[in-house]
Amino acid sequence: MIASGTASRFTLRGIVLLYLGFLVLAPVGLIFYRTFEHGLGPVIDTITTHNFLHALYVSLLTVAIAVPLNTIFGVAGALILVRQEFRGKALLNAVIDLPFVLSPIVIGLSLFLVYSQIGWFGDWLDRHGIQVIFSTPGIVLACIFVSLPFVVREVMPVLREVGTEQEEAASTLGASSWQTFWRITLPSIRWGVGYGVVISTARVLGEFGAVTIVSGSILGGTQTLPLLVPPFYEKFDFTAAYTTALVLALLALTALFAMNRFKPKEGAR
Amino acid sequence: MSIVIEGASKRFGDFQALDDVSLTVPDGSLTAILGPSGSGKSTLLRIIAGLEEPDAGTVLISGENATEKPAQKRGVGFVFQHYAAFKHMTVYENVAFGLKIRRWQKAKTRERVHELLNLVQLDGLANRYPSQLSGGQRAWP
Repeated sequence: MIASGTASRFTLRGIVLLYLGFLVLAPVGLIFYRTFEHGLGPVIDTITTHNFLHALYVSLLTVAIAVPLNTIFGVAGALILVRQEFRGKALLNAVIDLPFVLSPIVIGLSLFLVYSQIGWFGDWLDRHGIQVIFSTPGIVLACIFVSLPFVVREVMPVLREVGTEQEEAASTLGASSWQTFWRITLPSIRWGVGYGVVISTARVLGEFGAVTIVSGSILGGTQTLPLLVPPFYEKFDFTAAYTTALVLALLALTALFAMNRFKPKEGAR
Repeated sequence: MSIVIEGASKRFGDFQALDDVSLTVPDGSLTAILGPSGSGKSTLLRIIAGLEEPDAGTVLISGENATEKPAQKRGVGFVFQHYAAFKHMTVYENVAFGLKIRRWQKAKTRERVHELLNLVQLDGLANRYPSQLSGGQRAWP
């Protein structure tokens, strides 16, 4: 057996811990340290500026729109892909992975080509007074695009494993398909949904490339939290840059802990 | 509740599971269906319960044509091969599910569920989840 002896077991553990330590814990820990290097004052100065608060607002608003939409789409998409047979299923399956394989910059540019004033829908949007590019709807669109596959891909294997027998049992007991979905299907897959929601949230909060292009990064207007970091850095305002990074990390951690509260009760898996 | 099947056929891809099957189960009788694996017993039962739609033929339950009726409106009980307990619900919630769907009163439901659990000697385990039961205990419901 591999790693059965005490020595090899500790070696294996040591390698994993070192790997994690150097690549994840040290950089993240350093950000925490550097943020508070000069005390609380500069940190508070940063997070109370108008630009910071507005960027925080745009980021949270984007999460509040993009994540629920992708959760609904994700659960519906997973149900269709796992339970139904139809023409074009393989194509749909491949298209869902597109955001995974495309660079965010490409995603941003493609949205620009469709929705900007020189884009396909540009004329139509302009006539109806809707501005997508260089405004919040563009940011939301970009974030929906990049985080599209997460919920679908988390839920699909869970749905496959759960099978259809519990749903069939519910329907023979008199449950309508709506009742079966809410009382049987959704509770059975909620762990997968929760995980998908957390990584979608993290991705939406942190998205940089696609948002940079579609938002135009207008100060105090269309900036999200990640977009604040490079200008701070360029002005050698390192504390402000680290503070913003730390707030981003804390928001993602909050989502992670919130999900842990939905963990199945003992035995209910 | 009599069950009459007339000329039921069902095909899954290339496989003919049922080919023009007719069957009459009179009211109040007990019928056993025997046959080798893959001979279509489960398919026939699933068609009676409404979990599968026949390609041809009709299903009459208590003299009424139920062929197009969805499973939840047929009132046909069904014991699944793998028990099909609801894994995210306790034993109590599992038994109460059907009554809850039928909007029974809470007190009446509680009484009935404990009565049923007593009958199969599982009342002491009402708050356990299916994964915390032994194989034999799981087979009861």
